[in-house]
Amino acid sequence: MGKVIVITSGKGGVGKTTAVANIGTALAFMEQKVVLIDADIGLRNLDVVLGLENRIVYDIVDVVEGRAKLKQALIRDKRFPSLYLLPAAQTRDKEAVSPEDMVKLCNTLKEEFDFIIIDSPAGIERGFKNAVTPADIAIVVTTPEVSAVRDADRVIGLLEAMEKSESKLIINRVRSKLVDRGDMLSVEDVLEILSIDLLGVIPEDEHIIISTNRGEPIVSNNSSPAGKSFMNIAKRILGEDVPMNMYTEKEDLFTRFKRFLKWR
Amino acid sequence: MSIVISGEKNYITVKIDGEVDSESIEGLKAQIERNKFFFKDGKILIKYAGGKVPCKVLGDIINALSEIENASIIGILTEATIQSEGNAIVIKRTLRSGQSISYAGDVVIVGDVNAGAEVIAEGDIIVLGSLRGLAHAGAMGDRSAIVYALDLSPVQIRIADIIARAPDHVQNKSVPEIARIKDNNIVIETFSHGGIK
Repeated sequence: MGKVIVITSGKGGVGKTTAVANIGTALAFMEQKVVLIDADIGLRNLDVVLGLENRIVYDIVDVVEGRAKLKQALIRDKRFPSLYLLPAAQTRDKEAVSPEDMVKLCNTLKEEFDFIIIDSPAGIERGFKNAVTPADIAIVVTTPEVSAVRDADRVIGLLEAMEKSESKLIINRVRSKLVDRGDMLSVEDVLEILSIDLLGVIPEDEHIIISTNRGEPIVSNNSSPAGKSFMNIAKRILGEDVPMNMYTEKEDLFTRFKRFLKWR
Repeated sequence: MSIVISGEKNYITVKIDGEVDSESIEGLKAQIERNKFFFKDGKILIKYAGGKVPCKVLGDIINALSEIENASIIGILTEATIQSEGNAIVIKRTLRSGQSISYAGDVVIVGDVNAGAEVIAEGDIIVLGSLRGLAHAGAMGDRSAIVYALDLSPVQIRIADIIARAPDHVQNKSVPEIARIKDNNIVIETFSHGGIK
């Protein structure tokens, strides 16, 4: 039986889709059978990030409404044969799918895949409920910004209310120089507020922009620090104990004090 | 009453048994004084095995323990309800952004109140953690209501009909503080021994 993971954040633009594409690719690289579901109906992106947009024939709404079989809508990745995408519809809205539809869909996929990773849309409305309801594990992505942390906190609260007890955190786009100068929340600051398990920290990395535009997930690039971090996250999902890089250089008492003043 | 202090694997437990009065608080303080070295930098878990805990006494205990250098209170375990003068509810979790508690009495939160969360009480609000959200004590007009937190850094505090907002530049202070009305203004004071007058 496969595991259903939802990647969500509340706030938009923090890197949910990038995380889905890269964690999915990394898991496939480690010989897991993975399907990625784009739950952002009406604003689909995951196909672009994976470089698979020109292969879409049927989408998730076609499956739910019975116009296509699930097998017909699944797109096999061009690099990793064990990676599949179930794309969102672009011409419909979130109401086209219900949480019950998603549960049914995932139950079918569970039988064949090791991991089902759902890319949640931003927000906490219908699209969020669709994405979260079938999940066994929730991964909350945030950046070290006050606004993103606030939204992540809201989402963790909602996940708790939905009794999704297993929530993990990814902190994305950390810039250690800014943290050291006291101009950015540190990993520790974010953890103090959100107090959930940390799954990984991703450093800011220019390679991401290039890879997203090219439609090639970054984990396939060995020289990218972000790619390595995503690879480590995938290893942790598989139960491997990988040490965590917090991306804080050694700080003296003064900068630490300055940071405290700024953010408390 | 007895106070037993013991070291666990990662933290120190302070086990308190029986009725607590001001004398026993002094006893606890003396014990801390004698064992300063032991407590330093420690994580402290308070276990309360007695009957009802008056809020004021609990405040005194926390206050005594928070005087230790670098020590932090990681939690308070109690089987009994924490009792204040009127009726109170105890919430043993962190309130996250978007979550709200309103209650016709006192509210005790064993956890944090994060930014974006709100607590509205007809009586007092006591937060055994960080208060970063909105707190409205005495919501039905009780001007004697107070807001207490181990770390009081809310965006806004309301007591009865008076609103105070946080200064734009907040300095760091991790000491227990108490907010209440004095001369039609909300004032915030360090919660010193002797507590609420």
